[in-house]
Amino acid sequence: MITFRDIWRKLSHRKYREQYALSLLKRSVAFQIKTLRKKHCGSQAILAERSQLTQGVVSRAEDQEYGNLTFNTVGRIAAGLDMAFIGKFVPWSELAKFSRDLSEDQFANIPTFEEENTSLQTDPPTDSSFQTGNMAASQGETEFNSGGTERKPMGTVEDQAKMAAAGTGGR
Amino acid sequence: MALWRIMAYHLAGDFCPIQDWYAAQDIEVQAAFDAALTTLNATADWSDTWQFKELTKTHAGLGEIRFKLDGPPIRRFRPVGIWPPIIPNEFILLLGCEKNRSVYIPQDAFTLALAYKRRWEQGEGEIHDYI
Repeated sequence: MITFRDIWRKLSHRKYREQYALSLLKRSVAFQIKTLRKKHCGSQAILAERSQLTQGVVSRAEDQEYGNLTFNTVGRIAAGLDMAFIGKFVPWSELAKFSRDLSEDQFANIPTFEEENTSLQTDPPTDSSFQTGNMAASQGETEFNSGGTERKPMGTVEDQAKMAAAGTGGR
Repeated sequence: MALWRIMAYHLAGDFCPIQDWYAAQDIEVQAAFDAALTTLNATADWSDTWQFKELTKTHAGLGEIRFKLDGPPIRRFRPVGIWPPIIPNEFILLLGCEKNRSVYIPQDAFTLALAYKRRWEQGEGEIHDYI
């Protein structure tokens, strides 16, 4: 079994880590798209329709060897899955942990907006859980509004607009 | 968490064909191979990924991992192992090879891999975790 230490040792060589990060970037995005497509859409054709792309583009997006995906395509696929995709720069240690922990289960459980919204309505997260990005783990700890004491469901944008119009405040 | 355990076949005298092949590759090839193993490790069903191919006909019993290194020139590689797994979710790497159009380097890679497979099945050599 590959450990963090095994990966870290190899990353100590600059050329190695540059190529590894590049290869893993191409592969892991394609891997995530395929994993999520199988869970939420079934066929490539369905994801293509929801993403307003052709099935061929989705097929290429799932090809780990392709590597020429554009932000626009990834963004559209994310929209088709009703999820967000964020690219971010991270330290090498985070890449090593990501490599060690990568698995289909990690992505298969990402909820769509509607699934997440339903769960947030019944059990809203805290501000601190938003900051750590670990909402699921901390749901129900304390109130969502860090400045107040009243516990309120977050609601959808539409709910918040209705509350604002009624003068009740949605935040 | 990894869904697979990747092993390497070692012959007597601690000769390990896959590790020797890996050590002889450019560091970029090593990195690309490790990245391919990372995503394969995370994939439950290898029959549903282009990154792996179960070989048939004269090479039945073998499976090849497929990865490439962008160029120019683009280089394609096909490390070979035992398929189906003897133990579920455990893939034994036998040797590495590069594919240049229809030519494999080494040329006899699959014949050699089948020979290693037979030797392993006859109780010769050992397997250890591939790191």
